[in-house]
Amino acid sequence: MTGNQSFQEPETPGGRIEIADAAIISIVHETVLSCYGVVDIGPRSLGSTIVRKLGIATPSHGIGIENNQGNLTIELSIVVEYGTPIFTVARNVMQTVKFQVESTLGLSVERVNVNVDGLRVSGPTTIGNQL
Amino acid sequence: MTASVRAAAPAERWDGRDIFRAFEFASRWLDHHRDVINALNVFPVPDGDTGTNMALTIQASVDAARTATSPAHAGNVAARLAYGSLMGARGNSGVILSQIFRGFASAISESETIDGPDLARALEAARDMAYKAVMRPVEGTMLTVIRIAADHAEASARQNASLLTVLGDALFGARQALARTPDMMDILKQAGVVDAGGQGVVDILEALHRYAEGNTVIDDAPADIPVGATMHFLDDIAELHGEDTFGYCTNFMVFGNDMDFDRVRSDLSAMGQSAVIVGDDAILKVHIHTEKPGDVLQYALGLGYLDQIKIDNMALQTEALTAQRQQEHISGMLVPAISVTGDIGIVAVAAGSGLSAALKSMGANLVVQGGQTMNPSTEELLDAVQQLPTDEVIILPNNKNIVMAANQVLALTEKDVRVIPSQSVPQGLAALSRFNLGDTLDQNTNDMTLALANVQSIEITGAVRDVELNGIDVTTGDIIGVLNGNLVAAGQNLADVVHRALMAIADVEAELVTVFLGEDAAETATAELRHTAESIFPDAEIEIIEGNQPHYQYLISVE
Repeated sequence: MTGNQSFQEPETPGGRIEIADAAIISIVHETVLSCYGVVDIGPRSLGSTIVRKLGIATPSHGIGIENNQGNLTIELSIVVEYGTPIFTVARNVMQTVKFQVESTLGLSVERVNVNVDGLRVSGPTTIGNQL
Repeated sequence: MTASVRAAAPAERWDGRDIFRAFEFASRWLDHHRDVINALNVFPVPDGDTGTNMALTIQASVDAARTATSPAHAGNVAARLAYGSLMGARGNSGVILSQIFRGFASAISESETIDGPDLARALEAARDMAYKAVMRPVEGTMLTVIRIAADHAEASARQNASLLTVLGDALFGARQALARTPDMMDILKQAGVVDAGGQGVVDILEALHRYAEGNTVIDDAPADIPVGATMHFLDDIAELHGEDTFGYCTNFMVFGNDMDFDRVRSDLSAMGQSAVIVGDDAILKVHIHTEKPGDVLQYALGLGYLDQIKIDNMALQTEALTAQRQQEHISGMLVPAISVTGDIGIVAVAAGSGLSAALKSMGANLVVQGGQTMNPSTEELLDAVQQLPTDEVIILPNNKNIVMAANQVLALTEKDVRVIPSQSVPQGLAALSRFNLGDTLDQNTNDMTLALANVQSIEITGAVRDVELNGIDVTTGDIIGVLNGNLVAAGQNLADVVHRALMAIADVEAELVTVFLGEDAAETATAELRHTAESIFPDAEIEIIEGNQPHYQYLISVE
């Protein structure tokens, strides 16, 4: 899903700029890692868990880029902490990724699709709704 | 603009109703400061909505707590607060706040009422829960602020502190952490702001502390800053997130009616790069890098009328221009500044709200919390000195053990700092009374140091170990009277110790006796003290002030 594609900007007054998908992915990866509520990137399958445990996961894991002439669609797969407002977390991820990619790379991000592929339970599981 | 929930005396314990009222006040307090927080918002996305999001989130909490089934049960109310924040969380800051409330509630779920140590436990759990929900915590944010606040609360609870003291210490820690957020995150430093979410946490803790003090009047100026108008940092947005090296940096405001904000934002964003668009349906502030500023303005004209249009050719912007803008930026910006009248700033050290207020009313610009059992570090004093806008600063350590830390500040700052070696708060106050705005730093230092000698200061406190000093036997738990740093009386009877301590200076021709009551001073004992002081110093005026200081039942100055 990533390959060695790159985005090539039309000739600008100063020269030509090329941004490889791998560069975009690494920015997305860094951004998502520090998004609040996200506790993992990548789908929660047995295979991916093993890959992560072995430490051979690449940054592209769980992140897909579709590059339509400089208009990006970013596909994300994340695991969210149970007990956080999941929709709000996902929306924040969407906005933060869009902002970071657009501001650091100057590319336009058309869509950020966030797939919440799992929840991690580490805190209390009742949160006052039964009271 | 003034509204009070109720004027409560500092309570030993909070039940569910207190927790509800405290958070209800916090909700109104935060709403009041919403626009100030919005104006600080540069991270993670500079969209100027952190204050609004936090205010709405805590509002949802309070609404849920209003319908608690056991409104007197602390754990039940806290759980409802957490639930409401989860359901109503808005934005990134709202999500973090909901985790903080969740941790807070989990620690006291079984408690009917909570005291100081319980509250500290809840804050620690809030801290731990907040950190649990993120893989890579970003420091310099509200996470840092709640962490340091909880650390301070924890330390405070180890000494079995009261609710009020725990909150005071947590607030103190939170403020310190907030002040350091620009050092932890470059983007904040460049924008000249502290972290917006962190400011929100400080505001919430401040509101809880105010409630604990019984002060639920919203007394500072209303923050009716129109959204967008305060966002000066957007003018320098290029410095915030990397330079685009060609195209036009285009900034303007749009005044319209019923604009569809989300649609306008997405339309405009599509017209260029690094777009930052904030506002509401009536006012927009737009920043965008575009090759065709004309198209952007044409579009915006269809929405309403434009103002403050500024278009820069980024290719021509020189380093010098950037530097100049940053300079203007830093000098005119949003860091909550401490205002100082005149050229000399004054930093004083004291513990307790009453002593702090007394020092401030006498002219101290900043009071660092600290005293006998919690000496502030050199770093804390240095921070305070640096926070003041003046190049000349006087420090009043107000304790023998803090004088040395204060002296070390001299070597660490470029500012011209003088330390007046005051050994007690009364001495500090006496020194402040000699401070003269029109005089030079040298003259003031001289006058203030001389003033120290004219004050007899007596501290009444509890002995923490057995000792024999100056021929006086002291047993742990005794009440001791210390005159100008020397032990003069000890015993089991408070009134007796006070009497003997005052008698030690009975030959002084006193004009004014000032008594600062400690946080647990009893009324009857205070009446007796007034009587004793009047009989020993018949010509003196006796002034009694609620100092609320910990550890010292009384601080007495005779001058």
